[in-house]
Amino acid sequence: MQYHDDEMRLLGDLMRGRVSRRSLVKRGVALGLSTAALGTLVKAYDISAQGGEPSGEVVYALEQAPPNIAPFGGVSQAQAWGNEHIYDSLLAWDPDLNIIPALAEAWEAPDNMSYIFTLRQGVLFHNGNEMKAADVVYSITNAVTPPPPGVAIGQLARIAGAEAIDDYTVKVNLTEPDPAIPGVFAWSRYTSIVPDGIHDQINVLTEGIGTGPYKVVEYVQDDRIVYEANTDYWIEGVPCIANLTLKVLGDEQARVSNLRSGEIDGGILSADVVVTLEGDENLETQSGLYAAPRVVQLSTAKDVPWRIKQVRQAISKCIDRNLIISNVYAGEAELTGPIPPGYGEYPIPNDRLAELYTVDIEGAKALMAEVGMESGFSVELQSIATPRHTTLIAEIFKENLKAINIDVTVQPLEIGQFAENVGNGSYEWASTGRGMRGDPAHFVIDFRNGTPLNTTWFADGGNTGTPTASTFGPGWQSTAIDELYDAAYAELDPAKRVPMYRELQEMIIDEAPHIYTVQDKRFQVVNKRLTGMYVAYDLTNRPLRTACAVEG
Amino acid sequence: MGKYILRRLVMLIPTLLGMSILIFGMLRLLPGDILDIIAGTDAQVNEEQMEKLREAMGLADPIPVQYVKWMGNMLTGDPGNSMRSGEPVAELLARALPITLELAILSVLISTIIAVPLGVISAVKRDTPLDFASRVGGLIGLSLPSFWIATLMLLFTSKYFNWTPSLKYVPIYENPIANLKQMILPAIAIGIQLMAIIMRMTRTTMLEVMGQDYVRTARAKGLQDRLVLYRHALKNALIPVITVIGFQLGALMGSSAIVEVIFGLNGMGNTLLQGIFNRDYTLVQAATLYLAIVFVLINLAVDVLYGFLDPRIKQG
Repeated sequence: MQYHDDEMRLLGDLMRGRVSRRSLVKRGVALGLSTAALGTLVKAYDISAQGGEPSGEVVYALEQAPPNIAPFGGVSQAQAWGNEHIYDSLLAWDPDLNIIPALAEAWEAPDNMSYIFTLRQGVLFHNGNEMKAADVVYSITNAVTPPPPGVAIGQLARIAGAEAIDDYTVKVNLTEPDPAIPGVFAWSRYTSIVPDGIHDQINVLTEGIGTGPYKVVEYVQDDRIVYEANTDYWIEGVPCIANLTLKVLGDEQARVSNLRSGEIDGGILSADVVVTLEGDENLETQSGLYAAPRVVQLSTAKDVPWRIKQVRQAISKCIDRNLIISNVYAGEAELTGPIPPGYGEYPIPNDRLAELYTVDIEGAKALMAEVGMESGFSVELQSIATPRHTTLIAEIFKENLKAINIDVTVQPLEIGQFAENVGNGSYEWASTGRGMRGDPAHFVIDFRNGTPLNTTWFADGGNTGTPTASTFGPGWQSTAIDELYDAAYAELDPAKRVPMYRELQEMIIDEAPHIYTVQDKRFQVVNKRLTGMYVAYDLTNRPLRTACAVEG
Repeated sequence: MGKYILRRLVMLIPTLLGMSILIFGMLRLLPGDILDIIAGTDAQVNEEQMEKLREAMGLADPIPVQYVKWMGNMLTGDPGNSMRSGEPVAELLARALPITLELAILSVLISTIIAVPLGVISAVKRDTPLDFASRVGGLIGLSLPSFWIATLMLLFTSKYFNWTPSLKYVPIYENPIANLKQMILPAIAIGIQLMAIIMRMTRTTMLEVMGQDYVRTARAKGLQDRLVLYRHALKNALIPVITVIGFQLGALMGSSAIVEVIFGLNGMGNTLLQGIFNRDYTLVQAATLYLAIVFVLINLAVDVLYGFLDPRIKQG
């Protein structure tokens, strides 16, 4: 597989002024860029036409404080918000999640057990040194085994190591075939490229040396991160903003007020709050899907009634997902399977999901009766207390499941306790959400027997035992899902992967070890002086890398 | 008086020791630790990896061992580093403390300047419309939570004046005008409840004092009402008011958290809140202990002030 960076070349030509607006559109269409991607490029053209130097100051509000800006081992979204402008990875996503070159201008998989990345030459770190293969090898080593407080990431577990072939070529060796590697590098959250030996040079928790479009000037814990433009950035004309500040504003009404007054230029708001800013001529509301499918996890680690497949299916049949869409998300959400809508071709289409999720109370009752569970049972459903949406979903589960005599007690928990309980399997049911993934496989990996959380959540064993009144059979496992997961994971051809992952999701929905519900939309409000912004599907604020601040 | 202060300072040692055990223990009772927060609910991280990290970060030690290590460091003047950012906790608190201190002092000042005269007027004009208005105002002030007032203030000023206080903190010694523009709204938001408390307390104590024999005597001697009020009544009526103000000043140091979050001020409250959310033990332990010390010292200062206001206390 070889990928040439036509899109990057187009962006480079654009920034160097070598392309007219008309030919930009023509070349973009020829490259098969989507409307959104093309729109972003056209906006960038409009800005670059105003002159090349970064200018203006932008303050963007974060709803959570980045705990630090370490380049490796940070799982939380807030941490990524803090470091995503400082560092690049070898690959990147375009706004439509197509993998495009970044610090590597090309890559190939010569065999199933390795990837070779050809590095872009002349890329400078913020300290002025050129990025070379030794830096990439050091970075990959630290990404796989991050220093504390970073945690080792499962998505990189199949990387055995990296070696420099020459100054500009790096080979990544695998322990097992892993077609997800390019996606994980494109996601870039866990694969920042840093200078060799950075941990001996600075405190990476509060300082940074990357190749990204912004250099970190000041990190003030729990308050703000201040950046300045990296004028040596490897994409000419990027960044466009001279000074960028990420300001922590946890209170939503404070974000509303400061957007109105112009103290901040952008921020994320919830669907019901965003309407209060309608009609403000200085502000623009943007919305879009993102990757955080809502799910209610059913733990089968203990001997519980929902170890029986029919019980789980009955639960799923009772849940009115459209009620969740209308009552929890004010209509601003879509049905979802394990892979959320918007993740390329991989999600199950909405029409098919609507069929799979048809509410069927009589069918649910019949399933419960079939296994002698018509009298139901009691269960505790844990949720996150703040923000409230997982609790609201849990309340809808509670109401819906009364129809089959399941008595649900909703237990909202503070995030720390909830995280601990889900991590160590101390829950019966848990209302939560998944996040972004670098590859479709990683949305369904928890259902593969033997993976880290699978054992904790479902317990070992197959669904081969016959359920009886006194025992509900072994913990959940599906051999058919395991086999299809493995087959899909070994497949490199995207055209063949799509139907495999769709089938896999239908099997998961049928088995219902977790009950997937909906994917809501994310709302961003920006001051109109900030151009080139959009709602990033991967929950990042990466549009700020190429956005511009227009004065006046 | 010197002995009294010394005795009170010596009593600080067991008080603070008890507090440190309480703070340390309560924090450990919170479910989850920083690694649970870092890993979140959505990571492919297993418990074995987490345990290794806990060992590396000293979280796997028995709790008494962790306490002794922490206290050992505290006694040598080193509260440690933030578990999130590795920054020295002392630096983080030195950055946050002036903001909260200024906020607390400003809100006490505003409250006192408005509430004491209101309380006096209310007492002197007892059962008049002015008194009723003050009392109703006081009740309303007591009933309104500061975070609600803060939110309304921001929404109001942004909606009607396109203005909110700057989000970038400017120290008062750098630019007093810019600083006050930034701090006045949060100080008022915090101060309204305090204002109501002080006003009611002043009114009650003034009424009590004005019925005392020495006030009657002063009046009988033919002193002007104003002199009686300010020289005899008010001075004595202020003693319990000062106690309340002192307590409130200490309490404000820790209770301004939500208002700080709303106004984007990175003070002690906000720092503490974020530390608790993230289970940043070293930061929270040190911040809470320092706040406790400040609280105890303010109380001590109030007691000393008593002595100056009422010689009987000094002699006792």
